[in-house]
Amino acid sequence: MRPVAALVLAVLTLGCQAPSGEPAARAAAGAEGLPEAAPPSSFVPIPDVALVTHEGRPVRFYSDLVRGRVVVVQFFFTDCQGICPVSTGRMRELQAALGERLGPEVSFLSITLDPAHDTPAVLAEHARDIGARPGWTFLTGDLADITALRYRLGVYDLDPELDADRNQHAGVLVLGNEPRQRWSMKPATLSVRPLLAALERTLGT
Amino acid sequence: MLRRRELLRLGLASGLSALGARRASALGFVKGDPPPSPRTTPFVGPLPIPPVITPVSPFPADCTLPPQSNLARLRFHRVITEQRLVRLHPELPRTAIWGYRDANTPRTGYEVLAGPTFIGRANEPLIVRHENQLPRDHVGFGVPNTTVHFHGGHNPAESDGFPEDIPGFRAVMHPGERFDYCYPLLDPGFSTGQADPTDRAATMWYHDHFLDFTGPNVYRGLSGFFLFFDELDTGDERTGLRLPSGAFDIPLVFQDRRLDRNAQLVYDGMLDHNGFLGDKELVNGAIQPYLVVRRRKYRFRMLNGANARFYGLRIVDRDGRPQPFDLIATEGGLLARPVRGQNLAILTPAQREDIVFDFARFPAGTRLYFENRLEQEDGRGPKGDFEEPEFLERGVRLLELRVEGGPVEDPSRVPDVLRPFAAIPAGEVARARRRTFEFERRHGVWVINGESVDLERPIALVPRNEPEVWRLKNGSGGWWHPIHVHLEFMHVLRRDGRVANLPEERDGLAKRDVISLGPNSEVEVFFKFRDFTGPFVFHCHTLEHEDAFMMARFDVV
Repeated sequence: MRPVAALVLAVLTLGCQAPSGEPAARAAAGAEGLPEAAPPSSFVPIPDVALVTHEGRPVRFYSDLVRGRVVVVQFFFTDCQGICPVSTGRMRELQAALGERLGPEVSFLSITLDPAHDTPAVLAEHARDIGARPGWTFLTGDLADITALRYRLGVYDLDPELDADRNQHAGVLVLGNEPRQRWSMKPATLSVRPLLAALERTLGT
Repeated sequence: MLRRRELLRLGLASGLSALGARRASALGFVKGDPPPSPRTTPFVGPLPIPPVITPVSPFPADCTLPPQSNLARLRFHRVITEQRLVRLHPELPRTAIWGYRDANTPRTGYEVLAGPTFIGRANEPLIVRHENQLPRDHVGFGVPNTTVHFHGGHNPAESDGFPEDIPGFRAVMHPGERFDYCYPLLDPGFSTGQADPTDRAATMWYHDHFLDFTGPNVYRGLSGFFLFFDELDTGDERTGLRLPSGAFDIPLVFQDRRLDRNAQLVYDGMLDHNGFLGDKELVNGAIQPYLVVRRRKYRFRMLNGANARFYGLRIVDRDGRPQPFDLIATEGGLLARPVRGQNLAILTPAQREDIVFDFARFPAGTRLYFENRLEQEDGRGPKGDFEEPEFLERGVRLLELRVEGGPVEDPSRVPDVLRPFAAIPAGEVARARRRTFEFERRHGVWVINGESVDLERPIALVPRNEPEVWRLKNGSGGWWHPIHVHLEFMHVLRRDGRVANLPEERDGLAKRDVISLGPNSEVEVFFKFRDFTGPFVFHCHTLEHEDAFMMARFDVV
């Protein structure tokens, strides 16, 4: 497909939810004419793509899973023998460390890079195998949507050859605090203590 | 008329730019992309000069100066970190930024992006109280917690601006908190009885260093200059080396930004850690300003204060012909002797070079321009490699210099000898402890020597006052990495196994605190961490790489 055609198609087919504000216009002016709080900076929207959970529930990524929440996002695939077991293991440790906070305070989102293989049923079995608790959602969907999401979350490589290798995208955990529009990225190879510290910085506590 | 560079940014140049290809391959990336910044007319607003900070009355400080400090000359300053509005261009509404302000200046009276400029003098200590008044409930990029790194300074670990609190070691100011920094401004080696007065900086800066979020915090505006003077570089062109001074000694910080249609800052480097590039070029916080100059010599202190952009700076005439200047200093201070007749200064993020340019040969009415000639499309760095970076056919003009008035008296000069210093003795190099730090990209993240770095654990324990040779190796494919090591200057020994031969890097001529590590290259540098013990860091100064953990802690013990 020619690039221009691809872009047009993308614009037509991809629903995008824009949490961006109208900064200057809406900023409340303080006594000195300065904004009391930060005006919501215009922010690049998180794609609101349609996905399906490991429980077979259709969801929108932004409006159902991210809006109003603190999230840890992982890209992985169940057949992955490379880095995925490391990052999944780290998320299990994080799950244990967070205890009851998983779910009410922090959501885990694991998105497959291999949707052709990783159907909701396969993901459900994987979730059982690794002992995922409620609050940890596994997601599949259309590969183009997942790829768009992966790019927007910064999990891609500028080198097309490396970008084509799924294993390259499974070593990263993306931490997000949507109400604060605060995001960061951490290597999954990091041990759980600095990961938890990074999560606390993202939470803002 | 769009320049080629702008066309490239828009993906409209002949062929498809890397950015365009990236978008196409991502299927749908383009819709979420912010539109380009609003158009602005170049060179209609004057170059802002950040004000020099003023002293405050002494206060009981929470930091400690070394006992060798000259307390008779101690000065105190207070700095407020806050959100404020500044106009980046006369045609734009005001932009909300985060900035530093001299506490003696009223909040409404400070409309500059850059923080106040510190003036340091050798052996005259400073105590600086920073007060974090950033909005606690801030929404958007940036995090209102901060630490202040005095970049280029030789300071105690507690005052260096470590990126995070670690057990037993506080570094971070949350909103409503303050932190006192002690800057002894003593010569390196002071604690060993071998203080080295030739190891003095010239142009330094200070900026936020909060872990994971330095990129967005600095991009919002948390940086300022720190200039250093002594009995040679006096700040008075009638004494010492007689370098141009006062109104003729101009700090220039080059930065790029991206704005939305309301002129508010746009940044997606919290998600995309490849390195953020803007499409507006700022000098001292103004978009493409102008500076009126007299027909005489000027010292320009050039700082690359951008997050990820590299600059290849030239001074050109209206037709783009480069005009020569004398290079007199790098991060490590004045060179042993000037490098005359230069016409290009390549600065990685955080690098500084001081030049002297003589306008006496240009008639009134002449227009000259600082321009950037490097071609760069993404956070990997400029196109080409270290030996042969690729240049734009026509540079991007950053600052207009308007020559005005008749001939003027010019007592300044650039002497043939500036600040000579001894080369490192061969014996010191021979007995140095050797370490290798390899920077690589694995599974989409940065690792140093194969590991993800944890700031609670040092990657190296470095004995105090012992010679060290560090081999900094870039094994990360097509990426450039400007590596900054805190606390002491690096002496470049070898690049890719060969004796360093850049005029500004030849051993015995210059020292640096940021090393440009080109794609697949390596550099050997010499250090001696002479005075202060405790935790420090080294890291990539492409700030989004740093925020993606391209950083390590080393402890001087």
